[in-house]
Amino acid sequence: MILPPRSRYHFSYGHFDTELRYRRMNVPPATLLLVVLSICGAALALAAFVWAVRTGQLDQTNAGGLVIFDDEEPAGTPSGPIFPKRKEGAGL
Amino acid sequence: MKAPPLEQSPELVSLRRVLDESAAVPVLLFFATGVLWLLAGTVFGLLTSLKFDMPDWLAAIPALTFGRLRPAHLNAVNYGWASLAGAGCLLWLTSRLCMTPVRLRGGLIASVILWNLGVLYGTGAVLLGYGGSVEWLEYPLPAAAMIGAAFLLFAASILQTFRMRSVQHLYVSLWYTVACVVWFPFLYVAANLPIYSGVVHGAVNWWYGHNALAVWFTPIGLALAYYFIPKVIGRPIYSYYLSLLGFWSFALFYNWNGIHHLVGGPVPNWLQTISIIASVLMVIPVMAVAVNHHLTTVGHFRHLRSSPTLRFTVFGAMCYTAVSFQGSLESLRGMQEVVHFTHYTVGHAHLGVYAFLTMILFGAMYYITPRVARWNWPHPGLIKLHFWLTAGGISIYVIAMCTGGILQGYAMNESVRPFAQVIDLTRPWLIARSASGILITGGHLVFAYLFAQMLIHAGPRRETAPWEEAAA
Repeated sequence: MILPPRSRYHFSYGHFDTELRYRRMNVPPATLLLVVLSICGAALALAAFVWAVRTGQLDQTNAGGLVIFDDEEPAGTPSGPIFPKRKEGAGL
Repeated sequence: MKAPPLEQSPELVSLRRVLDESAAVPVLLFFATGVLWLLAGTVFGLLTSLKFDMPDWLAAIPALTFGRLRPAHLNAVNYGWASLAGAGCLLWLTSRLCMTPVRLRGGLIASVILWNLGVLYGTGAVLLGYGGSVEWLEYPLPAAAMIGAAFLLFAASILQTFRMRSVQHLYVSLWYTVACVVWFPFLYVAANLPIYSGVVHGAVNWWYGHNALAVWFTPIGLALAYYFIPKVIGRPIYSYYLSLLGFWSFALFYNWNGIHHLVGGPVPNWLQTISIIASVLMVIPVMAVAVNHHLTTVGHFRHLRSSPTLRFTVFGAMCYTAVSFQGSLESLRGMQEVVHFTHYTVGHAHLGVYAFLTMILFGAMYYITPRVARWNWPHPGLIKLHFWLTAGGISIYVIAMCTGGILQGYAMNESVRPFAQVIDLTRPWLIARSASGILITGGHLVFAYLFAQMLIHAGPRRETAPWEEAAA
């Protein structure tokens, strides 16, 4: 891992003066950017939820489970691959 | 339960064939390279385990010392095997659930190449001593950048396929899939930025380490389980409503969990407490998944005999419940006092990434590979052998590590006990771990042999194609 040299953003506990310590706690722009991006991410998740509610994704609570079946592979029919029919006395 | 009348066109019969053909090349590339990394990662893991039993063995070769083999194992199985195989499964699943061919196939092939070069570069660097010291992020920056770029290409393909979907309703597996391809690139890039130091670096380390499981590996496993359990049994998920509740509570709680790896460490106490609370809240989505999968399968356990996919998937789903409850308990301070820095954590990690995720990946690959390779599994007996070797192996592994870890934790907490005695106490459990590793390695060799036969259409031809097979 390549680490940058200690920059002016480096937070140091080398000072016992509390006020000075807080004054030195600069937030690097990259961290700020990450915070902003995280909030955008959370907003995106919220938007996805609102979209799901509005478009009725959460309404078809029973039919939703059936979308993986259709005429070709109907519900009630298991699908393969399967092991060939077991002979009498064959093991697991 | 009867299916509601769906308006289906007659072309649908051939549509699945078209979808599988569109997915075939990228999916098989992801699978094949994933299996190669599985073999490499297994060798690294087995060597690492044997070093606990024979500390002097291979100690003269720097590349084969513990400090390099262990991260090589971790990274090869996670970024190599589980990520590549998982990506292949998600591609196929997205195409199926969106009922549209896989898009951006050229980008996917570039993604596989870049991904493998990244893992090769990174693992080589770790073995040669150029790895970093931050767990889960040992790869040097160029390797991480290659994997990140490969992941973005993969995510672009999934999202484009999703955008071109021809279905109205999004199945629950699709929620997990789309969410994880949006979450993981952000996580991976943010964690690999060279801007952290000190305590913050430790916090970012475990924010990433846990979230790699939370927003990438677990969604893969759950998306596959939510599709294959109902599909193989032929019965819709017991409560679809519960599955959606599970997804949204999962999305809300899981990403807070990371700092529980640092309980008792130098990170602020409130941060640890938030993580512990979120870890316990994970009981809600886990219960939703566990109840749902169990009630879907209950009464249909006979299919476990006939379907390799169901065997592996149900085993994995049961282990998901186990590993999650274990994780919630493990985050509590009282439990951490005992099990932190012990083999218990190693047992927990393997219960998650192996017993849950890898077993579900095996199950999914048993279903998907015949459909994309247009060839049926040649030796059903070997599939059973694969199942029993891996399921038996990982069960011994987890029981040995968790029991040994708790004993080790209590022994270490006795301040008067000499440390060498604690080491002696763990030895039988570590031997059991190596024995289980040999079983698992055997299982992987069997699987790799079967998979290679599928790729070249070798072995005896089975009478019915898997896509025509239905268990009686």
